[in-house]
Amino acid sequence: MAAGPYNYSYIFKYIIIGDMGVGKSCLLHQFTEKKFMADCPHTIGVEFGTRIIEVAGQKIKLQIWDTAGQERFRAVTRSYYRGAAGALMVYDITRRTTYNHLSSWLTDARNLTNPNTVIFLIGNKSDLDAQRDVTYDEAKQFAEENGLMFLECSAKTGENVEDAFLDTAKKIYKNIQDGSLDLNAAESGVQHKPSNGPRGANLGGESSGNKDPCSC
Amino acid sequence: MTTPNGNSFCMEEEPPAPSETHHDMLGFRSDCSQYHHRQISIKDTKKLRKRENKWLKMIGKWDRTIERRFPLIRKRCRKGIPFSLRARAWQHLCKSDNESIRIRFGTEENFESYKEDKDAAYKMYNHYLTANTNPEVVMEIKQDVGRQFPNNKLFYENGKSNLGQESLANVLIAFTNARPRTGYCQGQGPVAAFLLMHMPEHEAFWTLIRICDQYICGYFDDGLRTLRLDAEILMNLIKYVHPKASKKMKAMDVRPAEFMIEWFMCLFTRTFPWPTCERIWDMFFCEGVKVLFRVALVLIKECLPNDVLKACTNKFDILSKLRSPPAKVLKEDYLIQQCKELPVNEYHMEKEHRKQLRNMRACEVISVPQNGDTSEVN
Ligand SMILES: Nc1nc2c(ncn2[C@@H]2O[C@H](COP(=O)(O)OP(=O)(O)OP(=O)(O)O)[C@@H](O)[C@H]2O)c(=O)[nH]1
Ligand SMILES: [Mg+2]
Repeated sequence: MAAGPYNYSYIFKYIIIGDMGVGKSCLLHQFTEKKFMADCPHTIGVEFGTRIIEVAGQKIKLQIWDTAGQERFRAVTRSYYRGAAGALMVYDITRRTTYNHLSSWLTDARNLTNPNTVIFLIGNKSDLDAQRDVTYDEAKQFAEENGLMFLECSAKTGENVEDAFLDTAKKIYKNIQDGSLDLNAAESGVQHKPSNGPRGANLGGESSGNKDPCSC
Repeated sequence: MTTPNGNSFCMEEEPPAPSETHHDMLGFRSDCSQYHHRQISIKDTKKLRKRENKWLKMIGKWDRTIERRFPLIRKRCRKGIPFSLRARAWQHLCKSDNESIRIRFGTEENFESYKEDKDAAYKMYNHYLTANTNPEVVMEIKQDVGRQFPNNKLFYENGKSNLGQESLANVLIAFTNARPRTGYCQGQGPVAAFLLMHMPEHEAFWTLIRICDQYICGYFDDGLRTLRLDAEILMNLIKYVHPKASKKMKAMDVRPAEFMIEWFMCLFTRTFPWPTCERIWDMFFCEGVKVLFRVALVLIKECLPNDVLKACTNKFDILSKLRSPPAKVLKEDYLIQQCKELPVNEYHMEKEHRKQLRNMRACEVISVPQNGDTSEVN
């Protein structure tokens, strides 16, 4: 692991959303640590994780915000949608209510991110197929109707977890390549760092500090 | 396990299972990070007996003591309440003891019949526990209790759920019935669970009620308005304690919500080992929410000393540091000493409070629609 801290050319910001207990924190943990954290406590507020990945020969650093699923935390978590390049929207295949709430999560995701934000739908806990409450086909159809990418995953076995995070990055990268994602736009959720130096040009994203006390 | 100071705190009487794991006096399993085995020397024991006597005397004539000798109580709370009397002292400090509850709530319409009843607190609790609760909320709570302190014997034993889970669910359900406007917030779980490690169900319930009514009023409410206000106050107090950190955190757009919500909402139960947490609560029950600010400021100061701060190149570095406090500050005596020495006093806190309240109000006037925060979902 000779990679220095700046050995990447892009930073993509992600956010993970969905009802409480669907496995958002476990998915993040599985992706960053390659382990299942069965005793995961619920998220109070927001947490984060990072990992460097490679897409088309480019090193990309993912900065991932994991949000609390309980409704009342939205007052706080909503400010994390802003400037997200990717949004992973998670439900639990064994609990129908978490699937039924997707439309409200999607509304937030659409309203609070930019039009180019890649939204990826994850049906988690695919290891619990016997207790399944939502079929693959109907979720697939929901995803297609709403233009979302979709996979069923398991934070427990790790199945498809890697793919969900990577496919999102590939799509974002493709959007950059074909020009549909404008890096200069504020809140694109992407920063480009020329690999020649630590202080790359900061194109949108983090720098736009929000000093207003109502969006802590 | 017998404890060296003779304060046996057993959840059940049967001898420990012949397995490798055992539990500390609060019920934490020996193989988890919260496990804490206290060593108490003879000298400490003597001191402890003396303290217990002092506390017994104070509790014996509580109303007079609190009225006339509050500074003495405060001093003794800062020194730490003896374990054997802690639960009782907490309840007296926050007025959740049977008698106070009977007097305070016995006048409410539903409770007229309990007004003169010695068991009023218990009966009123049962009233709330058996009231009708929205089944969706009950499901939410029941699903959550399994994730609370899985390393503690009260909640899990030998991989199976234990009695404490039901008590915890009961306390939380009764709470939503008693305070429907606040309802169930996940942050209540760890607080209620920690209370249950010290006292029986109905006492934990009333203490939780008092904490929410009187101490951290509004923290759990929809929209988290008070908590967000306190977040801004905290952010602005940092400059008195550690100006460099304050500057750098602002420059890197570190937002208070990114580290303080869990600290404040869970009253540090998820942050410190339990002996430290108990000492924080001893002070908290006596002095109130400003204790949370002091502890938070010490944490920030200790997590981000100048050399560490310098090495932080982005907000994630800073947040990682704030999430893993150095071992030294997790120790109760050190932490409390640091709290005493902080260059922040009530004047600063109140000044910031007024300022941030003004800011927040101004901001709400400008952006009313966005701040609706609540509604729309189902
Ligand atoms: N069988 C199975 N269980 C899972 C899986 N992912 C998560 N869990 C369990 O589901 C529970 C909730 O997981 P979390 O990751 O904490 O859920 P969350 O979405 O972060 O919840 P909040 O933080 O409350 O919003 C935990 O008890 C996990 O052990 C999975 O893929 N399979
Ligand atoms: Mg979580």
